[in-house]
Amino acid sequence: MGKGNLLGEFEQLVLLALLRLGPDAYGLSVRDDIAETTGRRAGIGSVYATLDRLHTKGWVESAVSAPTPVRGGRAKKTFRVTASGEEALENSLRMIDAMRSTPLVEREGGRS
Amino acid sequence: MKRSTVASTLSVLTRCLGVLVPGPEREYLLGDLSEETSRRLAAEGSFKTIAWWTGQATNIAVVAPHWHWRTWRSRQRELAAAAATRTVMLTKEKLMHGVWSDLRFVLRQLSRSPGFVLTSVLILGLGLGANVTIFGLANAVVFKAMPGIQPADEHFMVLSRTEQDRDFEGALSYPDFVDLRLAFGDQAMIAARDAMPVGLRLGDVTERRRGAVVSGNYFSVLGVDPAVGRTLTPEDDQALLSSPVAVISHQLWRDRFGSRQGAIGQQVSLNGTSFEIVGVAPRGFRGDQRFDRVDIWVPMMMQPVARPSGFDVFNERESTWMGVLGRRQVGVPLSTLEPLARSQERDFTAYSPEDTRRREFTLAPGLGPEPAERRAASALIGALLLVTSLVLVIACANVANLILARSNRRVSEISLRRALGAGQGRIVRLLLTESLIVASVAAAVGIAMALAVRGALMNFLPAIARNSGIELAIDARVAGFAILLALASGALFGLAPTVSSNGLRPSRSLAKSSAQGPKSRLRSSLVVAQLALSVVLLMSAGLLLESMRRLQSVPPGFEAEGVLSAAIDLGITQRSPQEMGEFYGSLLERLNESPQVAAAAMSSAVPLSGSGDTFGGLLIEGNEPPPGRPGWSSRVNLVTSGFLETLSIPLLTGRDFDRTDTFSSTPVAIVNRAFQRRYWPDQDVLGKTIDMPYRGKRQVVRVVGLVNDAHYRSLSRAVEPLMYLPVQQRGTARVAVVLRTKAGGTTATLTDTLQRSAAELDNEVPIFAVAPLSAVVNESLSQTRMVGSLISLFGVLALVLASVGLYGVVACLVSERRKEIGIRLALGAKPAAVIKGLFQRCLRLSASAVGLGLLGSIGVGRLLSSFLYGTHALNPSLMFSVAVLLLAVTVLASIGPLLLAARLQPAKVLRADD
Repeated sequence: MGKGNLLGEFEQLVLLALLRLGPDAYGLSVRDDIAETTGRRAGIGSVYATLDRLHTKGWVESAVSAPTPVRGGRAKKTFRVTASGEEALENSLRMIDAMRSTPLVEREGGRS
Repeated sequence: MKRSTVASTLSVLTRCLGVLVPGPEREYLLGDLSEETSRRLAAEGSFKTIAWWTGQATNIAVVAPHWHWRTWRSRQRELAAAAATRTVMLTKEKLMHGVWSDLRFVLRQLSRSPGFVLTSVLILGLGLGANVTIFGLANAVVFKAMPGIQPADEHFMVLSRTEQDRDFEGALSYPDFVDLRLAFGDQAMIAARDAMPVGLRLGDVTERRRGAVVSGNYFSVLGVDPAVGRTLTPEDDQALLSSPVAVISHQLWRDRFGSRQGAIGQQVSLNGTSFEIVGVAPRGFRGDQRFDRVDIWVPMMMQPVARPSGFDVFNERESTWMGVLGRRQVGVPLSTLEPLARSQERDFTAYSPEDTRRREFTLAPGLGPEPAERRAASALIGALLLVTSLVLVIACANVANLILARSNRRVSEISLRRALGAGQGRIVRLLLTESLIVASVAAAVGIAMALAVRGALMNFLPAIARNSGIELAIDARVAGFAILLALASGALFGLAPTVSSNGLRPSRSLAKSSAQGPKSRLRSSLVVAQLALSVVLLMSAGLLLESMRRLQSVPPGFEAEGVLSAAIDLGITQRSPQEMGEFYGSLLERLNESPQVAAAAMSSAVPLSGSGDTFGGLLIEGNEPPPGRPGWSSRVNLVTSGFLETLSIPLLTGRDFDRTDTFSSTPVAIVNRAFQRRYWPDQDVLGKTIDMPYRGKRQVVRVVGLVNDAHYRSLSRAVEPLMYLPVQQRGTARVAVVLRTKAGGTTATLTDTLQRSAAELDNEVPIFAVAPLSAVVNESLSQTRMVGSLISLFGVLALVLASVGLYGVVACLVSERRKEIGIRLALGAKPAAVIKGLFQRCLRLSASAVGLGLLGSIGVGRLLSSFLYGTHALNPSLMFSVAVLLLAVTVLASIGPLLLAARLQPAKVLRADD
């Protein structure tokens, strides 16, 4: 797995949020979900920049809904994790799990 | 703060914030921001909302640069990838499309000017044809592999021997051969061969054919495999006279045995000795020398019966009679073998103490003619190729001029194309395509021409080449040469207009500038080059023709008209020298009795036929031998009495040989004036003595007569000192018969008489090389004549081409300046004054061409010096004639267009041009 396929921490959070939120997730809802669940108050710019990056990598796909007055006449873009995005997230989390389990146990064993 | 004010303010600020967000996401992000702002305003009030909004704005401002950078980069990558795909597809398509469309376009253009195409194809075809013809000759004589020899590679070599102070090159002795074979070891295999005319008796008929005695490894060194049976092997060549076997040529097998297998095992009589045919050589193999036509090969150890000579040819180092050739092992260069050969060089002191001449062995790569002949052939062909390449350059310059003239007319077309965005490359490509198409067609024309003139060229060749069956075929090498040359010339003349078209600026040309630009200068220099090269060729032709004329007027010193010469070889019959003398005597008696014969004689050498011997070791009365050498050497002709009379060589003092000069009487000699001049100037030669070696002993010969000089070797060389010795006192196997007809007779009737008389005496004696002496004399000039005629032909061709070129330039000049001329005429200028300027320009062109050409001809004259006689490159009268000729041609070529200019109707011209 090349470096380009490794997910950053915030990317992981965004992808997880998208998975939790389902098909109607959009920038603001992702930000809110992350803030509510983790307490990390990300800026909307960061969320969008990340979504854009994930989109470039083909890990999320987007759809555009009709403009609404509440949005100042602007359209809304909803995001969804793609299959490769899920796979990348899965890999990334498994690596963290793997790193988490073995060395920590041994280190504890070493101490005792 | 009112909520609505805050809302509208934040809405404006949000829109301003959008500037920071990359394009594609701006709308959605700002939408989200607006939505959340409204929600928060409603839920949390202005202050918190403003604080929140400020936090988001800050966040956007912080991430924006990197976001922008990333977006920009990925976009660049996408663009690059797309561009790459597009470029690959485009280039391929464009190129193919370009080539095809170029081709179609050019063909369409060319079909619109058939006159241009025809002229340039013909001009270039002539130039190429001349080159292909001469290259075909070079190919046949120098390059082409000889049939049957394989592999025909670069590992062959020819060994020859030069002797100090002796105009001699070639043969080696058998001991030399054995020494060299040992010296080379397994680094090279060498074989020996001696080819000669033989009498071949098959059934009842004796024919004169070429035969060769060869060393046992001859066929294996050459890599010649038999067509039928076997070739000779080293076992056939072990012991003297042990193996009377023979290999015959494919042609002899076909002619005399009907290509039947039964020929193997049959007996054939060669010079009176029976040989068993054991094999047939492959088709086309006629020996290792290109000009030879050997029909039968027998082992070297059969030499004493195949070619009786009376010498111990296998043990005497002085008897040099064999040609030696070899094949080097792969990876052994000549330079490795040369020191080995040199180590075998020795002087003669070991064999005859007073003879200290050194001999040197030389190695030359390849097979073919002996080195001296090869050098002569190469010099000849080199000179001819030089000439034809000049013709080709002229042709190219000519076509380049035609194209320039055409592109002049196409200036506006080309400029328009460039203005519309056609790249320089495309225009260059179009012009090049055009010239390459013309060149390809011209190559075909050139090859066709070469095929057509093959027969005629054969007649120009010296007899040795003509009779040797060389073929001037157009094979792959010649065709390849033609095509390469055509493409090269196409590129050459195609480049001229492209060079100048690069200088075209659309604006300038579209504005119809005067044509007095760089192109006009280029055309003029091309014409000067053409004319100058013609001058070079004409000078060369003139020098050669002058040499020819002088040679033909050189008094040969004898009277060739009405004399028939023929050769007899008694070597094939087993006769002692005394019996030979008797045979000659009887034959001469019969001939002299014949009513057609005015005089008859025999000689070992016929003037100008290339035959003749040199005797060395002469001690000449009143002359000290040259320092460090045992004696003088002199040309010798062994003759019967009546020889001088038959050839009308005037006897100045003393007497001719007669019947009293026999084996038992005092040895006598007659010398020529060159001999007298060299050794006894201003003295009476009668009674002087010459001490000379004879059959291992020495013999004193008394001079009994002095004759006028006659040319033996070549008309172009000074006559050398020569002694005539009576054949009756020496005996020789191979002689020439010379017969003079009675007044009013022809040499043709003499042929019959000669053959009948000889057959009456011995029908095994072959008569050959029957020819009128005048033909022999003529043949001796054949090389000079061939070069002279061909170069004259090419010179005239060049002049015609160059004058066409000049005509074109003048015509163009006139048409380019029509307007100016029209205006001048309209303003009252006299036509004569108008064309005067133009004519002066033509004269300047041709004068500079004459100057350059004469300079060039001095250089070329040096190259031709070996063909020149009695004249040299700085021949003022010839130079003057050529200059006058060229000026005349200039006038002729320019007069038409100039008169046209003088007759221009001003009104018409001025109307037509705009």
